[in-house]
Amino acid sequence: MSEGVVSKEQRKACWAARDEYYHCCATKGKEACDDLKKKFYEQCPTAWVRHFERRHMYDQYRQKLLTQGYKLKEKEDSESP
Amino acid sequence: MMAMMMGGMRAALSRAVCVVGGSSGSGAAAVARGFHNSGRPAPVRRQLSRATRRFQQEQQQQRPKQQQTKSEPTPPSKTRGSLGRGGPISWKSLVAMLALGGGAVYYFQSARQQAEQERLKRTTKAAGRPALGGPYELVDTKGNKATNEDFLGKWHLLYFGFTFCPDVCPEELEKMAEIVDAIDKKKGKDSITPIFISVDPDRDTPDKVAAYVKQFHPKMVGLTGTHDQIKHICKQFRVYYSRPNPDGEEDYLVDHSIIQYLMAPDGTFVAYYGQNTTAEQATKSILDHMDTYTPPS
Repeated sequence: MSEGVVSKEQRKACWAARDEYYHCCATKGKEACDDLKKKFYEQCPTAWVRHFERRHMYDQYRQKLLTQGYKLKEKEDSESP
Repeated sequence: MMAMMMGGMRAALSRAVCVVGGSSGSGAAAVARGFHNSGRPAPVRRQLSRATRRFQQEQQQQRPKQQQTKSEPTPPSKTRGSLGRGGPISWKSLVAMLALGGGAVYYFQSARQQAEQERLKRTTKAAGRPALGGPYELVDTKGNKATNEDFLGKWHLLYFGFTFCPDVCPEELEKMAEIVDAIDKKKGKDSITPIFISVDPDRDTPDKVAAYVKQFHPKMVGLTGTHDQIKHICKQFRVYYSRPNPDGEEDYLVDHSIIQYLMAPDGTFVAYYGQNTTAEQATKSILDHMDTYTPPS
């Protein structure tokens, strides 16, 4: 990808593939979206894929915190022999 | 004859009482008091003070007035209230109340509008401007030298990014294009210039920058430069950007601050807009600045 700039069409295609894959993950679960994942990895440059995956993981974690909250470690655990 | 006798007896009796009164008290006082033929003592004509007389006169004047109002019968039609059935509310008072209420609402609306205008003036006229900006020298898309002076005379928006940016820079540049179109629509063509400055001089050659800015707006200016030139302008605008790990990787990402800087035609920094500001909000703010900007003395 160092030869030229990512064109507008390429960028849009990459974003569409990414959105499709993540939507599939949200509705059907990660295991059922392998072909969309392949398409996503092909359409986007490797560095972008890495960036998007990291961002997606962070977004999911944030969502989990907002909806489920977080559990502090129980006191009994630390006191157990 | 009987009557004459009674009269004579009464007169004798009164004289006798007079004598008795005279023997006990002062004779002169008894004479002054005097006794009527009826036997009832005459009213004492006292020497009243001026104030007391005035008070008595006022009392007499008030009393006839009170008697007058009480005697006048009130016409039933004039004081009927509760819209015809008798009570405190009449048609007239209702209309008056509505008119007063409407007037109060109108007054408050206009006062609120005035306060809003004042607040807008106060917020756009920043008391202390941060010392952002200053002279810089870069390279434009044709490979020629470009300085800050090339952009004087027109409002301009600066954005720092890089062409290999996966999501943030395209979104911000699309937002910038929206803002520019909206402002040009309101203020006329060429009212504001969008400028993209690369923080990745290793990969962003003038050709690459030219191809990149063309994706967003035909008016968008693209600038790049040497490491030192980019370092200099980023220092002047307090732009944070990370230098990539020199491992030879070609597809690294540059971490950088995401801000659009609004510059006045005389080159002074006026305002900045972050990622959370929408195109409409930024457009409105820029139009306000354009209307109220005064160059620093």
